[in-house]
Amino acid sequence: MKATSRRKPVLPPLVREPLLLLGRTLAATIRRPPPRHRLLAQMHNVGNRSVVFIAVTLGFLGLILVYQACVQTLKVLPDLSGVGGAFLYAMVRTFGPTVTGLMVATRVGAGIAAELGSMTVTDQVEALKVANSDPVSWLVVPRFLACVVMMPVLWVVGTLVGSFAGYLMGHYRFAIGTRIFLDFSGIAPIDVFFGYLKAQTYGIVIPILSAHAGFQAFGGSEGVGQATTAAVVRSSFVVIVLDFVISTMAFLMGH
Amino acid sequence: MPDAARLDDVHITLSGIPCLRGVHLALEAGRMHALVGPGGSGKTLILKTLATLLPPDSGTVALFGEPVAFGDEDRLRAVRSRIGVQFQNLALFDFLTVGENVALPLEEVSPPLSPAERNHRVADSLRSVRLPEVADLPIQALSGGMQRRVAVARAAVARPDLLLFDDPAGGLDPVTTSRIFDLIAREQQESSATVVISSHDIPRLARCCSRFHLVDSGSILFSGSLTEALRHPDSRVRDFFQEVQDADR
Amino acid sequence: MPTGSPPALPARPIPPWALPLALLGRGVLRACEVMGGMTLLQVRILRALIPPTFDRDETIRQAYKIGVQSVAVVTLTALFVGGLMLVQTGPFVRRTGATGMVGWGTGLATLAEVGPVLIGLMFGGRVGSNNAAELGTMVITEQVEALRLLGIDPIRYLVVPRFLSMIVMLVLLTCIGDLAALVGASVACQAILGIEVRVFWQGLIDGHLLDEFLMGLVKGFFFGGAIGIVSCHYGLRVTGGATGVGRAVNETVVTSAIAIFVVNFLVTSLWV
Repeated sequence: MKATSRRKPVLPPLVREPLLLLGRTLAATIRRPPPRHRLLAQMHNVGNRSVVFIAVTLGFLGLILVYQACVQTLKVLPDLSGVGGAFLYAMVRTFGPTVTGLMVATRVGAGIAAELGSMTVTDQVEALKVANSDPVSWLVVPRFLACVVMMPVLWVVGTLVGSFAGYLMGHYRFAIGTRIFLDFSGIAPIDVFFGYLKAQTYGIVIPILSAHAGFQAFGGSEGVGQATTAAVVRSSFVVIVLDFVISTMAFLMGH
Repeated sequence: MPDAARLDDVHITLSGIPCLRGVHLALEAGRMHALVGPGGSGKTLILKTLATLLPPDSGTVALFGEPVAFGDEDRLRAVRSRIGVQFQNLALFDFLTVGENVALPLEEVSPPLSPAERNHRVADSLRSVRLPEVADLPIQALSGGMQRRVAVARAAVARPDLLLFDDPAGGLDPVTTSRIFDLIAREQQESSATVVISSHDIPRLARCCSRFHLVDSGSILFSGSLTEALRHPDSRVRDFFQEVQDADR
Repeated sequence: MPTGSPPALPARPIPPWALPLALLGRGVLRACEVMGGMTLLQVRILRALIPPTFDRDETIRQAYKIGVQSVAVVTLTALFVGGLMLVQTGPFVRRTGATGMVGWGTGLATLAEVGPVLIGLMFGGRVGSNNAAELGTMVITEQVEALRLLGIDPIRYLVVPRFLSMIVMLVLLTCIGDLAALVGASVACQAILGIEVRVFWQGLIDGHLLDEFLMGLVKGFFFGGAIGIVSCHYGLRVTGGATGVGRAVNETVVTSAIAIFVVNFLVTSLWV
């Protein structure tokens, strides 16, 4: 995407161009919502086809977090009753949304950049322009909306699977009772809200950064590879930075 | 006849390498033009500039008698609705069926077409490239030659005034190549559009094109008819076109 | 595209009632194919290592390239990861006032688990995907076959150097990343929690976390190997032009991420 602003650019291109793309995507979404079947196809791709991947990674994460927590606690005191509550709190607030976000950046972000990148280097994007069809409206909007809708859903799935795997580890390996482990008293609605806020933010940022990287591709298969790499690295990095920013914000607001 | 398209002193530099160095090109309206030249000489870039996809660093591009305003989206849309392009890489969408691919240039025409009218135009267009009954297939189900014909159909479906074909015969056997050139020629006779074909196949181009433009390292070395080319004082031009005579013998 | 579909598909149309079964079977077959391919690649690599008959210059070149590619992104990520882990302890510290625990808790989580995993994920995204794209491009432009014709074994010349340099570089990057994460955490400690940096480092030193730090490096070793195998496997199997390269990169990052979480679980449960 070429920015044609005549004013002296204030922001570096890697910030300015995705912001511009976000603006154009929102405008195109309102001007012309994508046809149902294309949106559903993208939602299937983003959501359904990521479920197994997210379940596996978050599941192993839940297992290991509880394992470490129990082992480290047992070094200091023999009482494991606090582990469950602390684990569930961390899962809802940070690990659930952020690791899900990282996995979506990895699977979906790379996919978007690979698809749009190979369309760019094989002139398909230019073919849309000549036909007076807006590439943003055709290619970015369905993927963007699919991520916006499916990211919170995947957050719920990831958090539940991770928590359940952690519960299995705590219950069967360390014999923590179900009631004691599943201690939700430490989780306030505001904690769930912050988890959701993170997931939703990632759902907006990942498709835009990946589409931007895809459109930047040039020069055949090597270019597509570079664009895909850029998409994964940039979206993963931004997910971690946003997690830091939102967590700090929440802490400073007193939650 | 006025010129359908004009390039005046067009320069384009891509990633530090000067690719087009002062291109002067005038395309007379209603004719078939052949753009020939060795690989890497800038044929594709010239076609992309004509398609308003590549703003030149300097020089002017005039289409249908008016200079192209590359910054102005609305005027660009108006110009683009009169252009049809077949890309070198075909640029067919694999998430669309053959019919939907061909219908793409009809999506944004004004006034909008009714669905029935659109289907009719798509069917017509596919019939004209001898591909009836493939409209509902996915693009991947077609062979390379069939995909090229679909790309030709897509370029022509909106009945544009300027039709650009970038290597429509690339990688195809001689028989299919002849057939595609015949299709383009017939299309042109019916619509009297201005057609530009970039290709290496000079003998087959000679049968349908009346004007030849030789591109060499980023500028136009020669413009004129084939007979003029063969009698040209510059030996580079003569040598390039000599091939045709050898093939005719 | 006919090249991308798995070879094990039945030619007959599948009746609708059997579709779930067919999909399951196809998934299992594909998983077996991938696992088998990677195991085979691992065996070939080991055969080239004992006795060592790989290209040493290429290994050093690759290690240099990998380091240059990833050191900035790993360090930057780690800085934020450290800050993030520290902010997570914020509400706990506010409730209990246990400032001495901050250094230990953050250090433990960062050095043992979160640091190596996130550094590994970034490494997979940057180096693994780049490697798959590079090898994939070499395959589709027939450079790999050209090597074979010249009598050069692609495993010894291309794969082993990349595999070894990824292992070495990821261990080193985990060291650098751990340090960056602790720096990030101590800055956040002062700036956000308002606890003195000295208290943070004191808590960290009193925690005796050498064991956790070493475990993190062991994880880096295995993550590097896993990313090397995965990216070489998908890179060498590319078919079908630019689209195929994009797909290979995508599969590489996904499989690397799964491998990282599984290996992480195995190392921790065997170590602790």
